[in-house]
Amino acid sequence: MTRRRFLAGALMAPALTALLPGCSQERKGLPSDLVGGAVRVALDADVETLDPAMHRSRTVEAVVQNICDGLLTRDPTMRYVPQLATSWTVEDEARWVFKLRQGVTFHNGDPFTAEDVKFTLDRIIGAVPGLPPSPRKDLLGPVAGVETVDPYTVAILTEVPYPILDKKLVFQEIVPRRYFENVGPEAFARSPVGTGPFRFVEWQPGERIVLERFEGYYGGSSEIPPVGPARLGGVIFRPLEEGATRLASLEAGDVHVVLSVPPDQVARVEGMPNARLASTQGTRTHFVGLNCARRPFSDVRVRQALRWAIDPMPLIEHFLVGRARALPGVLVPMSFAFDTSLPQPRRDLTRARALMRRAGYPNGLNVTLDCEAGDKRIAEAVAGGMRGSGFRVEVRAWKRDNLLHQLRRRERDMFLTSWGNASLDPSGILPVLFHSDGYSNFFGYRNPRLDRLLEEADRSMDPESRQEKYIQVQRILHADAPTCLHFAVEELYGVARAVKDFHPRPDGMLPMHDVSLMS
Amino acid sequence: MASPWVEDATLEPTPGTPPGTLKLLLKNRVALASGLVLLGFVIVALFAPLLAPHDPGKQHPEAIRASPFWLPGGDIRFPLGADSLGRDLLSRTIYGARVSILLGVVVVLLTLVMGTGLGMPAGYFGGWLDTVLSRAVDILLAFPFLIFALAIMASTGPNLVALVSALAFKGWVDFYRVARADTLAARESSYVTAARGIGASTPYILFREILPNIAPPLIVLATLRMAVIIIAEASLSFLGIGVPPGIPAWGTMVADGRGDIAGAWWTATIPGLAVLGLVLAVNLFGEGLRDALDPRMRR
Amino acid sequence: MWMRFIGQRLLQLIPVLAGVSMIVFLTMHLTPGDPIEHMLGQAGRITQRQIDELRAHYALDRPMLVQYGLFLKRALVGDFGPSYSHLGRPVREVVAERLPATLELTLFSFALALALSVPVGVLASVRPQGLFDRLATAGALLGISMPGFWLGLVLMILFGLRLHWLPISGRLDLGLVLPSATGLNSLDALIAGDGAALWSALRHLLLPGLTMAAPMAAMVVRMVRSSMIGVLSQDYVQFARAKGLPERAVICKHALGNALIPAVNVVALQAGLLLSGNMVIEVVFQYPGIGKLAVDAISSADYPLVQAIVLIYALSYVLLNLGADVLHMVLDPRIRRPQEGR
Repeated sequence: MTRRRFLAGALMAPALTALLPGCSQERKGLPSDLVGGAVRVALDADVETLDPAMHRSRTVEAVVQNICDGLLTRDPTMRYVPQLATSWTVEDEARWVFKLRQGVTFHNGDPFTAEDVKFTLDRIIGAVPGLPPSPRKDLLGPVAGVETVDPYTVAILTEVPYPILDKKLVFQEIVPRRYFENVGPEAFARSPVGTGPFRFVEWQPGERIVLERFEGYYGGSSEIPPVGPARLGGVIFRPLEEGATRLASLEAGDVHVVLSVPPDQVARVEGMPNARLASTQGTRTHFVGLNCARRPFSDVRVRQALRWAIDPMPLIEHFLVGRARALPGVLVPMSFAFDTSLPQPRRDLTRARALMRRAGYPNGLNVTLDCEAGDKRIAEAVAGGMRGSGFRVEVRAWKRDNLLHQLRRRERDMFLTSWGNASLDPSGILPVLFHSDGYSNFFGYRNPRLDRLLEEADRSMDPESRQEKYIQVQRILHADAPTCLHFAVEELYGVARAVKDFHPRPDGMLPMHDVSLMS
Repeated sequence: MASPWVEDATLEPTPGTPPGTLKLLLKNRVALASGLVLLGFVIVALFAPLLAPHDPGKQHPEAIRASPFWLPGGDIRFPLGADSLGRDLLSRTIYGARVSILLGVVVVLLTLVMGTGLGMPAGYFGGWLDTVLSRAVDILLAFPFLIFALAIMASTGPNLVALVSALAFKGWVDFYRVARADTLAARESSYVTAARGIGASTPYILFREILPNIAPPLIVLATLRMAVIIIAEASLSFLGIGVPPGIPAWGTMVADGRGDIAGAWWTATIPGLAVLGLVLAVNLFGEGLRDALDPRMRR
Repeated sequence: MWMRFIGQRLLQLIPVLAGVSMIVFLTMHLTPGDPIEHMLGQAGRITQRQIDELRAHYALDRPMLVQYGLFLKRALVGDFGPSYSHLGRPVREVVAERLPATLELTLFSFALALALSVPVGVLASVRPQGLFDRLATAGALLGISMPGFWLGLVLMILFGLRLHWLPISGRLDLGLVLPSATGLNSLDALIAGDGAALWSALRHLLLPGLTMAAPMAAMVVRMVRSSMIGVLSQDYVQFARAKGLPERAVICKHALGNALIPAVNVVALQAGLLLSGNMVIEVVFQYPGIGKLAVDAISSADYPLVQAIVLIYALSYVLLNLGADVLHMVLDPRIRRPQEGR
């Protein structure tokens, strides 16, 4: 009676929602061989877009690089190899001429030509009227324009001599001009087309992204065997932001690969009968930044004292279970021009206290360590490691953009943050953080000599000269200590034993072209 | 967030506290037991520094993710185990009681005063005040509490005053309704008519005649609201926008332990159990109080 | 008369929704978090001019009153503007993608709560203070005293991680294929006649559904129980028993209907609570619905998105109450006039 009517009404409602606009989605049926032969990957963050140019997220880039290729790419050892470009030369320092691969088609059948390269790069630098510039523009560098010399040759012009343009091209993927112009930016972002080994099938936000093998793939870079269509039937990505949930899916066999295994769960993954741990050094440096523009950290002695006061070991050995390494500066050892002569960070309370006394703080100092909500545990571990040093640390957690907002305004004295440098070139991290005009110079650090060295290194086309200058910069930064407690965390992946040829990469990318699945 | 007991409280407003209430309450064993448990929580909160074996904020690297003492690998030094930073769970749970109880009491008192302060005039005078407030209440009720709390806390950052405001935002509505309805009924009752007859002033009538008589259901409601507020604060802290990080709070502890549910599951479950225990005690006591105040409402 | 009642109530909707929109608009705009900041992420060299251009593009540099006016004007046609934290995609799209998930979860929890609580409440009332009744009452008390986030985690640990009986994330097994009709997986599976998909969808709904249903079920159990006890002691029930009717017929035919009438209001109230509890539970289970969307949106200062979701919640709550009132009127022959004041 009553109850029945109630329930009947309750069941009616969902049928009505079908009438609501936007509620019904287009979903195609997946071919069964795709489903059986597809590797399932659990991502550690959600994906906002699949447009290669309109994001700053490593997760998006990892997914998109399976759909769209770039002119160059890197192999798992971070060696630069040609992909859609076959060769290139530099003419008078500011003009790069690239020869393009022929006979390549996009997923929709359009042929790949120089026009597509020009369109892609123009869009990124904001030279396409009606389209907004890309947030990846500065990742590309000072590009002034692109010319199509002939259907398979492009010339890229830079505003100033720019030694690493080719290396920066690994971060940009080529999109088909005609298709993009036909469907428009919003539709492209929901349903991208590229020249990559996998074509896009469907995307349910928050739930999954499905890709299937593209049979017409040109084969990929000749320097990364095997060359040919992908071995997998497809790839299915699912975003799972909680580490515990990712591991549970690996254990249950719901997914084959999980990203970002929490360091303390390593033993658990190693104990799984159907999975193993795969790891590699990361390219993101975490560090504690200090505000050099005002007291107390405007005094270099206090900054150095802080550096001597921090013991990285509780953090690295205990909290991160040894799955990280302490670094003397913001560069990771794999970087170009890494200074191997800098001493490893260690604690020395005597020196710390002496410096504090000289600086006028004989009784130590109360400081607040600000951090993002996600890094709260690490910040607490850092604060814990400073007990008894004279610095009494209180941790304060903020929402991410709140913190960034305050950091840009230099409102924080001591903060925990990080910077990723996937290019592994100092120009991707040192100028933006430490140059007086650096966009992310949260420390208010001003050193004209450092500025000059960075500018010269940026412009010089001679690798040895660049290396020498960057080493000088690292030494200056070590002495001046605007940052301390640098560490890089290992990239930890859980991989099912049925997966073959999956290689974890320092840049966090997930090329699935060479991966295969044992049944 | 509205309390389901509001309906009952307006059924039959009994003027004043019926005689023998305390005796009835004491005879109710469940209510007595829960009252004692409640007292226990309060004592633990008050004497936390004496009762806690360790400093709740101190990190013990050797005890990271230590098991509770009854599980293999457990150490009696850390009876309930330790979290991922090596902080003793028992000490943190003990200190966590402070936040929950203090915030619960403060918010409930605040909303009680607000709700009664607005409900009595609305019920007594009616008119535009009543209409305006009723509209306001309708709007507030349609507003999801969590969103308002999230918005406030996200904008101000970790901040106890903002937390109290966020929790009190919708909380006064129940008190308002009860106070208003009971005042409305009381207005027509014999003792108020008599008081008016002898020329008593309005403030006198409101404070000395009506208020003491509508107090009992309000007090019952206060205990039951306290349970709701405690859960609400724990939920906000769980989402990371409640109590500031330095202060041990049960909700925060559950959130911290969430990454460990596959291994050190106790770090997430034990603090939640503390919330459950406290809320259960408050609810049982509140019900006992209500039953003692009006046996006719006994379920 | 019907239409007048409903029409009256719908009219009352408008100031409520306006009030809600104003409150949320104000609180969001008082947030110092900068939406432009988030849109650009940790991007590199963006010039001040680009920031200003974006700001003007989204009308963030106009006075508040103007922005509010624009917001209202567009909201009336269903245009809530671009979502800052979703790279400028229309809010309406972002919400529409995730609304079916929340709808499915809420309906499932509602149905689960009723299916559990009504029979339990009825059975408990048959023998008051008996063993079953005591257990049911204790269970109900537990249900309203448990924090939702804790219950969710405990269920995850027990049934997901220890026993491996149920999944703890997602809505459907990753490998499964399901052509969409409504976006509610269980319904789509029914329509498509796909048993495996239906099973998968229900398995994924069970843990978050139970967590959401618990407090509501607890309240309804108490309500149904006390209501039934009251009804069962009434004269006409005694009369039916005296006539020699079997107990089951007495309960189901005569008592239940009347007992459930007052329960309708409580159910509506509780359903409203479902909506608010929704957010925490979606966060705990990482469920891709609008609750989780709201939490993420607020921390990104994504004003348009938050405003839209708040309005949805407010609308649902008001409609729910309206529905409950109408149902009450339909079911209770004693009430034929709309009541004054609440």
